Amino acid sequence: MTSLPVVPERCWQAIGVWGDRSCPELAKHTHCHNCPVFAAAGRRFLDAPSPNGYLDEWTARLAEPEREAADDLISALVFHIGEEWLALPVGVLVEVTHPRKPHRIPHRTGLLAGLVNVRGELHLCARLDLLLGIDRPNPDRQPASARPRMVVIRQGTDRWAFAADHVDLVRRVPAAELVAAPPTLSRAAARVTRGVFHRDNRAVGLLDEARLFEALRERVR
Amino acid sequence: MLALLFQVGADRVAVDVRRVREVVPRVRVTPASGAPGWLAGVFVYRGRVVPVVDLHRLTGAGECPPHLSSRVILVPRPDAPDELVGLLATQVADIRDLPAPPARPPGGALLGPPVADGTGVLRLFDPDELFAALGSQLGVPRPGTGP
Repeated sequence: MTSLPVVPERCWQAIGVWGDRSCPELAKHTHCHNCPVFAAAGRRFLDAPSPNGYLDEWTARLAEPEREAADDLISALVFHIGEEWLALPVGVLVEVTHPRKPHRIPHRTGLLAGLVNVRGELHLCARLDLLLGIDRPNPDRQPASARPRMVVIRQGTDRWAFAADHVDLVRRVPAAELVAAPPTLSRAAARVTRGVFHRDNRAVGLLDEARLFEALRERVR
Repeated sequence: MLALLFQVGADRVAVDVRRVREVVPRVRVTPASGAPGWLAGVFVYRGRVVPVVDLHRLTGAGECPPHLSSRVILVPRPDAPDELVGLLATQVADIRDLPAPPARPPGGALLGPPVADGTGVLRLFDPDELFAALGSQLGVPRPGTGP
């Protein structure tokens, strides 16, 4: 087929980037991923006979009618603050970044945690836990598995940052799956919550972005 | 022109990706009785019956090898874009940017004219010519109208 140089099997593990990096080809390709020998090895994998059951599985899978793509899917980033799982539509999301300590603003406490520098821009950092009335344990005493993050959101010219105790994934939620927020939710949280959906045995509150920004503007003054 | 590359016997073949609806893994086909040998059979694709042409049989290159890389290329019929025809080939695993082929009169080899590609030969496959050559033999069996 092609005139490939004769190489030991799995040369990438011996002399390539997963080995001692002594392969002369590395100077040209930088990484084994770019090397034709590696690509050819990948192709050879596809020349293996298909495993048992492969044909039947795909025959059955392709025979199924295509599931109609729901056009009312809401993509939302799921995170939690304290014990509360929340989601925010991705449209307002700017970035999720490593946590940083906000610079306190003198004589301001409460909802405004301070200013944070994200890529050279100063953002107001809000305490979403206070805004939503969430009981948040001291962030310094979080379990080691927690991965706190700073989330930056924007709507129009309004930019805010807030701290989340853990950021999960972007989930796609059919609008029909949203149920009304339970009456046990605090009034403050109910005001900015669009509904609740269930994922992985957890109730996740989907925040209403317009009302969240409104609440931030009005209450952080 | 972005082209999907595949192998039929000894021939390396390219088809314009704009002519391809989907590439699916090889499936178990139901042989159609009384059909020509190159018609591997039919299978159900998303609730529709789709005929599968074995390009190896069609070009006299024997059987399509049972490799993982043997896949079915789904191509819409030029006269009825909602109806698909599957083309079974092997080493359907690469997409490349090729220079657009010059316009040429229809007719000629089934797998298209050979062009130089590096040190090898590549055939530029045009599904329209295949459909023209196979003609009505590629009739899609309608469900419920069998004998």
